[in-house]
Amino acid sequence: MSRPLPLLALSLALPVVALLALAQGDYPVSLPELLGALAGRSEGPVHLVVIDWRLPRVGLALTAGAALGLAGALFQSITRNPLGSPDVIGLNAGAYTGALLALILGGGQVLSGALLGGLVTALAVYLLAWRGGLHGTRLVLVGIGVSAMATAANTWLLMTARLEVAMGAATWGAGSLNGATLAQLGPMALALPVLALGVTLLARPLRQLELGDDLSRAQGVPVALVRLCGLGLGVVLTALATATAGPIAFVALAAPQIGRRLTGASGAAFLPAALTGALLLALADLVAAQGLPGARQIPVGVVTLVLGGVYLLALLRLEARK
Amino acid sequence: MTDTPLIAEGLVLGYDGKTVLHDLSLRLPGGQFTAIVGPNACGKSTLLRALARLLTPHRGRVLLHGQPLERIAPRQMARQVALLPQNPIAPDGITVRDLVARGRYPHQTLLRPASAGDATAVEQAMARLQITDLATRRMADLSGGQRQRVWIAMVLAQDTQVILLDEPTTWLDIAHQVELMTLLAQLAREGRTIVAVLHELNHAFRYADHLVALRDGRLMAEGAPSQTVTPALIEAVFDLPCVITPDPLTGAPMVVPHA
Repeated sequence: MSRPLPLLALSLALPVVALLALAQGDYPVSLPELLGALAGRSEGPVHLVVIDWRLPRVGLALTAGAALGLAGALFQSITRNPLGSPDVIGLNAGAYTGALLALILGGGQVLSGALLGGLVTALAVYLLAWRGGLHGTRLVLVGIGVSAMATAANTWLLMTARLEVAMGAATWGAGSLNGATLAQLGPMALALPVLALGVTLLARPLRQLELGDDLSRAQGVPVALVRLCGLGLGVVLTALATATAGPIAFVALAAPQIGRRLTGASGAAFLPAALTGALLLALADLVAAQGLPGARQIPVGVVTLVLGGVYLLALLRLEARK
Repeated sequence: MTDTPLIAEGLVLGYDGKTVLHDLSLRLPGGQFTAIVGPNACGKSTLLRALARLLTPHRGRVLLHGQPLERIAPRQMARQVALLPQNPIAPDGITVRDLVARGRYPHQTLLRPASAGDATAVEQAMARLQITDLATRRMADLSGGQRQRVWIAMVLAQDTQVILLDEPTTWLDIAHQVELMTLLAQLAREGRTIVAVLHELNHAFRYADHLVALRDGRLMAEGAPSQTVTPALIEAVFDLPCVITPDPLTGAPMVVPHA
């Protein structure tokens, strides 16, 4: 049984962080102004800054974070491995390859390129890891290999691209929410509830699947179908987040584990993973938007990458102490 | 229960081009404790997995109450037959009560996730295995013996007429082994059909009502242990010369190997 109190605290932290992100920046907005703007009673610079500039960015951070958290929980549950998250098994790198190819060859259809790249990579990992059945550790190892190859291809593609294309691609590749628009938020806000509903419907058999293939089959779980649907949902959730925000590391890896520990849940805990993912990315973007001295804004992907390094080090220390 | 809930008819089964079970036919008596014994790699686990419909036979079929397994819906099957495999996996951070509750899965649906009946079945199963005081502990913090009792409780909570167990005593010390064998015999007396793959022959002969001896995927003997166990059978199945002597407490056959 998960504890309800931490879950409530997580849910309450989200609007607080969101309001903070909407208010802060080069043009600070007071709380009454902010609430007025959100209620649609503002004009001029306040409306421009809050609704046109900051709201899409905060909205994307929350939705993409939730999508990544869910995707991570799905993949970790199916691979039965805390390292089996989409960023580790190469989906991010593959989506980046797709985006690069789109930028260099095509007319810059980054979104569809990233989606396609993510799907193709997922399919490649799945087929390479398949040996008359799916084994979690093998999927993770194959994924790490595919990820390395995709990263090598990405470096080569960047080197061959024209300078201005390469610079644009590198910015996208760092994973950034700078300059997010309402038009980007739309598809995400529409797709996320549908995908989340899919995860909700699948959650019970997925959690049962963690007991092992034989046991869950004997308990009536259609193992192959549930696993395929779960992987499909995870791939689409990752691709969606990556296509809008670029390849963002760490959130999918850490959010399910942090969420599970915070709420005391067992196995895959999808709601805590989604809430933690949203909170993590929103917080990371808050830091990214403030920037560093000398650099006005940094890509949020850089912040999550640093957090990811700290997280992995902490995990290693914890495991070593056992 | 005097019927025969599970019947295997001419099972031929194998993987990777190798045949594991050769034309195997069996009747597993209802309300009895059946022990499946045989040397390593004789097809015991394969037989158990075929009975649980985890494997589809190349030829032959398994009948559950006269109905071929492939014609029974997975959920219906799971409400009648439970399986405890050799190496079940405990999800990260799971507590004893949560794990036992996972046994209720076939009785729940999306629209009716958990009921009072489920909670009662879980509490009863934990009481039966004497793990009620461990209910809130995490699986990772328990000893091997305690963990195995939790798994058995989970299978009991599934509340099926037939229970299949693959080497359930492997991780247990002798006292816990005897405890588990007593429990399985008791469950059979209450009307459940218990089928267990066992390694410890003397336990199998003493506690089981019905014995199935396999070698190289073929049936070597079938029947009550007191009527089937002979030195010749043990030698034929295990290549082990031995003497059979009545166990001093119950008179059940007991294997004493030569040198």
